[in-house]
Formats: sequence, C-alpha cells, structure tokens
Amino acid sequence: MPNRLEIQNLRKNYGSFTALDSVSVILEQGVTGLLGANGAGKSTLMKLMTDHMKRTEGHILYNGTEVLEMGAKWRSLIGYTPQLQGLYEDSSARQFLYYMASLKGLRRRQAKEQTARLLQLVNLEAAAHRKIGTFSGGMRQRVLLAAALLGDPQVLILDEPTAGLDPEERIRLRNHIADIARERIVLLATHVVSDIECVANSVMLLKAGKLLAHESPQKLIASAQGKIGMFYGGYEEIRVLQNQYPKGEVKQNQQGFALRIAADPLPEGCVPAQDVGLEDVYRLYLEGDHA
Amino acid sequence: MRELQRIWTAPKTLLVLLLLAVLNLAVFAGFCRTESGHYAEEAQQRSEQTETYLTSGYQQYLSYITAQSQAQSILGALGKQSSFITRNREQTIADFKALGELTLQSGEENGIRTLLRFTLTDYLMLLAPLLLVMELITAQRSACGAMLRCTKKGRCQLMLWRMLALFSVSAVSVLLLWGGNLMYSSVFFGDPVLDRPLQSIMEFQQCRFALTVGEWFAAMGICKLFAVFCIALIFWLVLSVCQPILSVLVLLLTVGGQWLCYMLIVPAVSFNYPKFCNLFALLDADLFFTDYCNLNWFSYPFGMFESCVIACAILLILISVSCIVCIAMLHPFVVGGRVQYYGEKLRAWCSVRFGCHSLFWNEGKKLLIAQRGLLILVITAALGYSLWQDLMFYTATDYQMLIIYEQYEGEVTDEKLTKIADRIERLENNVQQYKISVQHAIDIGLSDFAVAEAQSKLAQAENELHRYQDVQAALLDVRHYTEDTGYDAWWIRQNAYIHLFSESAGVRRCGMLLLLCLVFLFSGIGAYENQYGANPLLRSTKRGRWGRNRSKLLWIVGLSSIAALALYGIHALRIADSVGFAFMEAPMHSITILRDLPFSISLRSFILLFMAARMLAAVLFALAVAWIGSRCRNTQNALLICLMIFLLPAALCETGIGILRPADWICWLGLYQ
Ligand SMILES: Nc1ncnc2c1ncn2[C@@H]1O[C@H](COP(=O)(O)OP(=O)(O)OP(=O)(O)O)[C@@H](O)[C@H]1O
Ligand SMILES: [Mg+2]
Repeated sequence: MPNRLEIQNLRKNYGSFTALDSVSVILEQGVTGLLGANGAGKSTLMKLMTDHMKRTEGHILYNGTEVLEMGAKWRSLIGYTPQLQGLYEDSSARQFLYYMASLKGLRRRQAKEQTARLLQLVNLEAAAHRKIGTFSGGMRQRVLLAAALLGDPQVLILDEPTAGLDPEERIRLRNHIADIARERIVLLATHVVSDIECVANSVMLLKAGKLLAHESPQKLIASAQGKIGMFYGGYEEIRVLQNQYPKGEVKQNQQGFALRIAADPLPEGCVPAQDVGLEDVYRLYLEGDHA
Repeated sequence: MRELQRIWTAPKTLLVLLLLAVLNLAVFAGFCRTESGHYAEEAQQRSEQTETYLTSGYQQYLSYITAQSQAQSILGALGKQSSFITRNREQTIADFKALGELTLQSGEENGIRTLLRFTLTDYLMLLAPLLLVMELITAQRSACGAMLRCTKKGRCQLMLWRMLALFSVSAVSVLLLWGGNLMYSSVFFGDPVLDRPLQSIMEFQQCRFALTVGEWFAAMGICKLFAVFCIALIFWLVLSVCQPILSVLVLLLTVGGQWLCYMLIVPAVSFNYPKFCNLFALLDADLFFTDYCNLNWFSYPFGMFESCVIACAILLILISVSCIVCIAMLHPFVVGGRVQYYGEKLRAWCSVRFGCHSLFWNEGKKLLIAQRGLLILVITAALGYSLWQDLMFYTATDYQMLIIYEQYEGEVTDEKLTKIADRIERLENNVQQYKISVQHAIDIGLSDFAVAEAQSKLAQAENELHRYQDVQAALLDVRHYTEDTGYDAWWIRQNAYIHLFSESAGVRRCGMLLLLCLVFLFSGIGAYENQYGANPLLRSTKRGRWGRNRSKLLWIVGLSSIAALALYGIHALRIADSVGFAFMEAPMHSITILRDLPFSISLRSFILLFMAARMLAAVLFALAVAWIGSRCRNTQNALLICLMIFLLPAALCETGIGILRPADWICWLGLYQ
C-alpha cells in the first residue's frame, strides 16, 4: 500500500502569534526536505504531526484517515527526532534504546535485536554502555536517530537530525535515510542545504509560517535560473553593491573579489551563474526572513 | 561577593533552610513530648537525686576523684607504672582542682537533657550545606562553569567566595537547627537558666570545663559548625575530584568510616584515637562535656576535646587547601578512571544481559534506580524499624478487672445483666455487713488495730461494689444504645481500639514518615522527564502517553499502598503486641468513638476497612504529589514545592500551631476526623 500523508490547511497560533499559517501539502514516499530560516515554523509543523501540541486548525490525514483519530496507532507508525535533545542523561545509550523500544511496544527479542543493529548503524556500539550525559552533541544526535528508527516506522519526522554531526557521519546517515526512504515517508528539516540537495525527492520552503513552495529540487533550481548572478570587481565596488544586496555572498579568489547575488532582476554588470544549486534557491526565497 | 549574594538570594537556599528548620522543629517537638512523659514518670526520684547532688554530691565527687587519683599515683610511683598513667592522674587532679569553687544552682534541666538525647538535628544540619555542594559541583561542570573559569577572577577568587558561601550556609543551618532546638526546649520545658555553671546539671558531673550553660550551648554550636563545614568540604573535594564510582567508595571509606568509628568504638579501649579524633565526635560534641577522658599522646595525657579540635583543624586546613588546589587550580583534575572503567564494563555487561524489560519494569527502574527510589524505600524501612522499637503502649494490669472482663465481656445478654445485678445486690449486702461490723467494733471498743482491719475490709468491699456498679452502668449504657439506635453493640475492652483509631504521637510519627516517603518517592516522577525535555520524544511513541502513564500509575498505587500498609501496620501490630485486640468479631459500635458512624459491621471488618481507607488516602496523596511534581521544571523544584505544600503545614502543626490544622495532612493521611 502506498504511503500518503496529507496536510490540509494546518495552522498553529501561539497566543496571537501565528507560527504556522494554513499549510497544505501532500507528502509521498521518499525524502521531503523542509527548508526555512530560524523560527520559520519547521519544528512547529513537526510537533503538530506527532500530535505533541494541539493544532489551531486543519487536518493531517494518513492514507485518508485523520491521525488524531488513529491515536496510538498513528504513533506506532512514526519515528521522531526532536530538535532539542531530550535524553535521559543518566542512562546509557543502550538502556535508553531499550526504554524507547518498550515505549514503542516492541517485544524483548525484537528490542534487543533492533537495538544492536541500530547501535551499529549509528556507530555507537563502543560507547553504548556509557551514560548519555557524557556524550558529545553529535553522539546524542545519533542516539536520537537510532531511537527514531526503532520499530521500523513508516513515517519518519526528523527535526535537524544531522545537526552537529561530523561530515563523515552526516553523509553515512544521510545515505541511510535515503535508503530507507524508498518505501517510507521521511520529512527532514535541516539547515544543511546540501543534505537535502543530495537525497530529497521534493523540498518544502517555509517562510514565516507560510508554505512558499513544494517542488522537486530540480524544478526549484530551474525556477532560480537567471536570478543568480556573479559580479566581479574590486573591493570597493563590491562593498557598494553589497550594501544594495545584503543577501549577496562574497567570494575571494586569485583574480580578486566576486559577489554572488540572488535577485530578480539581476543588477547590471552581473554574469548569470551556470552552477545554480539549492543553496541559491534558499538564498533567493528565504534569506532575510529571520524571526 | 557576587557569588555570595547569588547563593543567598537564591530562593532555593532559603527554602531549603526554612524547610529543614521546620522539619527539625517538628520532629524535636514530637521527641520533647514523648520525653516529657518519661521525665514525669521519674520526676520524684530525679528531684531527690538533684537535691543531694547540688548540695553535697558534686563536692563529694570532686574530692573522690582527687583522692582516688592521689592514692593511685602514690601506688603508681611505688609500683613503677607506665609514665602515662602517672601523668594522667596528675593531670586529672589538676583538671578538677579549679572546679571546687563552682556554686551550683538548680534550674530547669529537662530541656538540656532532651537536647543531649536528640541526635537527628546533627544530621539534618548537614543537609543544607551538602545540597549547596551538589549545586556548586553542577555549576562547576556546566558550560557556564567552563566560561567562568576563563575569566581573571574565575578560579581561586571564585573558589574562596564559594567556600565562604558554604561556610555561611553551614553557620545559618547550625544556628537555625541547633538554636531552634534550644528555643523550643526552653519554651516547652521552661527556662534552663543559661548563666549557671554547667555542672549544675547532673549529666555534666564529669565535665572539666568551667562553663555556664549558655557557654556550653555556644561551644556545642561552634563544634557542630566546624564539623558540618569540614564534612561538606570533604564531599565537595571527593565528588569533584573522583570519578563517580570511586567517589562513592572514597566517601564510604572516609565519611562512613569515621561515622562507624565514632559509633562503634567505646571510649575505654586503649586505641581510642579514631573515636575522638573524628569529625562525627565534633559534630555530636556531647561526649566532650559529659565524659572525662585523656588520650595517650606519646605517653603524655592530652584532653580528648583538645585532641579532637587539633586533629579536625589540621584536617580542615588540609581539605581546604586541597579543595583550592584540586578544584580551582587544577580542574579538571579527575582520578579513578580505572575503577570507573571496570564499573562501566560491569554495567555494560549487565545492561546487555538484563537491561531489556517491559515498559512497566522500565518505568520502575527509572523510579527506583535513576531517581533513587530504592534508597528512599530503604531509608524509610530503617526509620520504620526504629519506629517499631520506639512505639510502646502501656496497659495497667488490674487482676480484679480481668476477672470481671472474663465474665461479662462480649454481647450484653439478659443473663449477664441479671447476673451482675445479683452480684451487686450481694456486694451491697456485704458492704452493709462490713459497715455494721465496723460500727460494732467501734461500739464495743475493740483495739484500733481491729477497727482499722474492719475498715479496710469495708473499703475493699466498697471498692469492689463500685467496680461492679461501673461495669453495670457500662453494660446498661450499651444496652440502651442498642435499643435507641437499633445498632448492635457489645461491651468489650476498648483500649487497643482507641489506640488504633485515635490520634497520638506514635501514629503521627507513622504518618509523618509516610508523608516524607511519599513526597521523596513520587515528587520527581513527572518532573524527571521535564528536566531532560524528553516529553516530545516520548509522547511521539505508541505507548508514550497512556501506556507510560498507566505504568507510572501502577507503581504509584502499588508502592504508596504498600508503604501505608507497612507503616500503619507497624502501629497496629505494636498495639496488638502490647495491648492485644480482643473480641474482633464484636460489632463496631461497641467502641464508643465509632458510635456516630452510620453503618454497622464487625470490628474485624472495620479494621480492614480502616486500613484500606488509609491505604487509599496514601494513594490519593501520592497521586497529588506526583501531579504537582509533574508541573515542575525539574526534580529538585518538584521536591521543594511538594515539601512546601505537604510537609510544611503538617510539621508546623506538630510544633503546636493550631490554625493550620485543616492543612495538617498527617491527620488526613491517618484519617482521624
Ligand atoms: N511554545 C511556544 N510558545 C510561543 N511561541 C513559540 C513556541 N514554540 C515556538 N514558538 C514560536 O514559533 C515560531 C516557530 O518556531 P519553530 O520552533 O517552529 O521554528 P523552526 O523553524 O523550527 O526554527 P529553527 O530553525 O530555529 O529550529 C518561532 O517564532 C517561535 O518563537
Ligand atoms: Mg526547529
């Protein structure tokens, strides 16, 4: 059965402040990247999906059924890594995973077997008996990811799962996520745009609680073609131009200075860039939108 | 300066001190009440003893000591005894010589005697400084601590300020608790007359210091302060320098070892240095004033008090310097890696082997191990055991009454009523007879002795008659009650039942212990998850909501009802032991205090019902504690808030503040209303 998660008109107010504003989107199998500046509402969306908070308005349907009605059944289908690491500092990684397994209703044999496998996957076998309190930030993140993957969930909701990981671990885990995402829905929020570029089938752009776009990365990149340009010049010229385009990124090479500008239309003297990437899409649509 | 200010303006510090002071006062108040009972029993004897002691006894004691020492030293000089013994005798004579001029003065002394006997305060005094140490260690280890250490004054200077803060907290803790005891005892027993010589109180006969009672009190306080400060510093040093497992071992060896030495070694053995040169000796400090003993230092006698003070002063200097060096200058300076390594190996093996449980057991593990619930249960059990030994119920055995009970106890039947009426009639006749014979004896002018004998016979007979009349009245009262209300009732001995169902110091202690146990056990059960921010993750799982709460609920219900059953069971069993429940099958309205209750079952069922209700009350309390605790940000806050809400009013009530009675949770727990 194909997995399908439909979010309809989802809205969340914190008091008078609207953190999420009528978001409608359909998620299908594969990785969906979630991009947005700090405070754009990514974590809020995810907490609504796990039903950690009451939504103000809207629906979330899994294969046509409202998840609130599914209750525990829905929660047995999801794996979630929260953004703020909520781990018991005084239990060991293995104990924590056993505990999570019992919460997910796994049988003892399954729990043991899966814990061993996942500890290997996140490369924490050697440290599994140490207290989580002594772990580094990246190690904790990996424990969380392992906890999310316990019980083989159909829907993975990952809130910045790769934050603080070293490049090697990040790439390994990213590949693993892409691998398991083939028959599952994975929603992946991150600030590391390259992660999404590599593995995402589609990307959601969230800006101040509103959904700007939900497209495949290729389409987004295509839509940014021609709006990204390079300006080469001396230091002084660049300084002047940078004041006009604060979103520009200064680069330095042997020839001198260059400013990469995302603007529509591009200012005069700019050479349209050929190597447009998701990073540019982010810059074009989302930058300068800090809450 | 900022650090001192920060610690002293933190609500937590103040709250902890306040709670400890109130708790201490509550327990001390209960202790005073039980002790005053004992004092009343022996009051006559004691006052006679004191009388002789004050007028002549003390002087006799002094001359006896001197004479004995002199005699022995002459013998010793002849017999070439070891030089320590000879010198010790000379020392003894010198020590007691000056005390001859004291003018002893009588005054209220039960307060001081109670102070001497009450030792819990010493341990309670330690708690506030130890909590501060824990807090400081957490601060040291936090990211903020690392940041502070990078600043110019963030090492030695900060450390010195923190030590000063620790000292001030210790001082206030001692002042509040030790001073509070003095205040309460002088209010309860009366003014102890602080400016009379200490030796005026018999317990201090052997004291060789010429102190007044007030000075003694201050000296005790200072001793306690230094001991508390020193013990807190040891904890600070060991906990910050050693790895966790090693630090437990080291603390057990140093602090626990000293405690054991102090408790177990008797003063008379020749190797008694560990008993006296000991922080706990200084913390207790009683011994230095109530006993006389010199230690043998290289065959020179040296007072136990001086020895202890010097040893502890050296220790204090060493520990302070090591604290500054190891914590402030060398930090992170950590030892015990090897022990930690093997400990972790063991734990790893255990967690692979036995670590995987169902949700119910996982929650239990969290409660009992991660949140130290097991430790709390063990402590409760230990305190419960001491309660078991302390609880006493006396019944006067009156053999004549026993005979009457034998005949009339139980259901009030017509047969019994006629029987007692007959009996009374006969007794009345007897009395009449004796009256006549007394009159007769007087009339015919028998000897005084014969008249007195006849009179005593008359008195006996009258006495017996009154007894039977009382019983008859009681029987009739029960009969009337039955006829009036339609409820069945028997005439039985009510003593044990009244002990069981009514309020008393003993059952209040059970209740207090239960309340403390529940608060310590369950206040953190929800706060623990808040503390780590684990809720979003846990709630996203299948059984992370209802399943998790159900497991917790089962633990709360189970543990709290077991605790209630055990603690109140101690009380009931003690009564059963010493008084005994007779006629359990009698209807409950046989007990006068239960007559207002609108239902009727047998006493046995009522006791079961009563116990079940107490268990239910305990469960409800535990749930309230858990619920309030789960609103708090972390376990410490939860504990403090729950103690404020549940313990404070009950403890204040214990000290005799009447307005708080409706919030006296102990009453509610014990169901006396
Ligand atoms: N409990 C709350 N109460 C009030 N406002 C909140 C609460 N949680 C989040 N917000 C607000 O909602 C907005 C969205 O927050 P959210 O955590 O979803 O952002 P985010 O996209 O995940 O940001 P980041 O990239 O920093 O994780 C922010 O402006 C935040 O201040
Ligand atoms: Mg977020």
